[in-house]
Amino acid sequence: MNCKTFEEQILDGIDINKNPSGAKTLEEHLAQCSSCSAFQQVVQSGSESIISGRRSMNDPELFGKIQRRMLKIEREDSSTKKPVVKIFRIGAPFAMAAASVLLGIWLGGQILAFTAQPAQGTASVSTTPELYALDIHLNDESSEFIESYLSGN
Amino acid sequence: MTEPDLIKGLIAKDSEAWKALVDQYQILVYNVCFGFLQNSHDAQDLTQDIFIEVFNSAHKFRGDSKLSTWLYRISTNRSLNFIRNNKKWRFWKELSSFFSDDESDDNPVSEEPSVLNENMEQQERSRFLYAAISNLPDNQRIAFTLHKIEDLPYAEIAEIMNVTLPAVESLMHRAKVNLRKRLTPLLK
Repeated sequence: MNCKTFEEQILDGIDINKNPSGAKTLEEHLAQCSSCSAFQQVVQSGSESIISGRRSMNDPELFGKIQRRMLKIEREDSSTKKPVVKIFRIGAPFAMAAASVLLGIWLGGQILAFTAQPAQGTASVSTTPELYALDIHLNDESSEFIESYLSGN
Repeated sequence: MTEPDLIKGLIAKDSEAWKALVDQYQILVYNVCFGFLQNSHDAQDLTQDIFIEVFNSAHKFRGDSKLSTWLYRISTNRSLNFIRNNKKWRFWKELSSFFSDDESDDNPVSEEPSVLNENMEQQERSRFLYAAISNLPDNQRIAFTLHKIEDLPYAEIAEIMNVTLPAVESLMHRAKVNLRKRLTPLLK
């Protein structure tokens, strides 16, 4: 048998009464193999300390504690705390939605501000009629074409 | 009080039945919680929560299994939920302490095993084993804990977990393989 088999036996918690020969073989192996011996110590003392905190006697005050706790929960339910919990539950999605809208408005504003910036040569033009005139002026070639087409017909 | 009387009393919200249930099953519930949490304070709190849940949902008990099986099932589920929630809580606590540069840590970690009266070496060993069990997948952890710590037979574990007997055997086998894999490198 190899160490793997012995480690499985250790985890199984081999019973001396049920399997005396297996227990003896394991004992002999543990005396020779330091790694299996360490494994056995971890499993054995680990299990012992995990089990050591278990209770074997009733807590006589438990029923009273539970009753007090139930009363406290009932009081909390009937008080203002419940709506607060509900607000917290719906608060996060609302906050996210509001933040998204605000972010969208801000980004839109930034984009508009960037695109509305006048060209370098027209820095002095600021009023709407002037901008309109500038726009017509910039499209002179097209307007000339339309004018000649209209006058031709 | 017999089990059917106890169930009838619980459904009728009878305080005598309620007290009898707490007296009869508090050790079972506490020990299951302690087996998973390894912390007596958390196990005590959770035991109270579980009895409150049982009280509020007694009408849901169909009576197709033993009351103890139902209690084992609730205790197991609630313990695992507690661990999950506690992990989240611990994550946020660690994150906030990291950003606040607060080096004082007065609160002991809730999931650590309560091994106050043992020496350091024994504590280390139990921590190894507990950490390895904690890292098992939930189903394997439930099967292993109920069998090795609660000493329940496979048939009862199958009923608690609502799976077949071969499924429990398979879970136990995989749990042992995983534990061996996790423990062996730590010891080398």
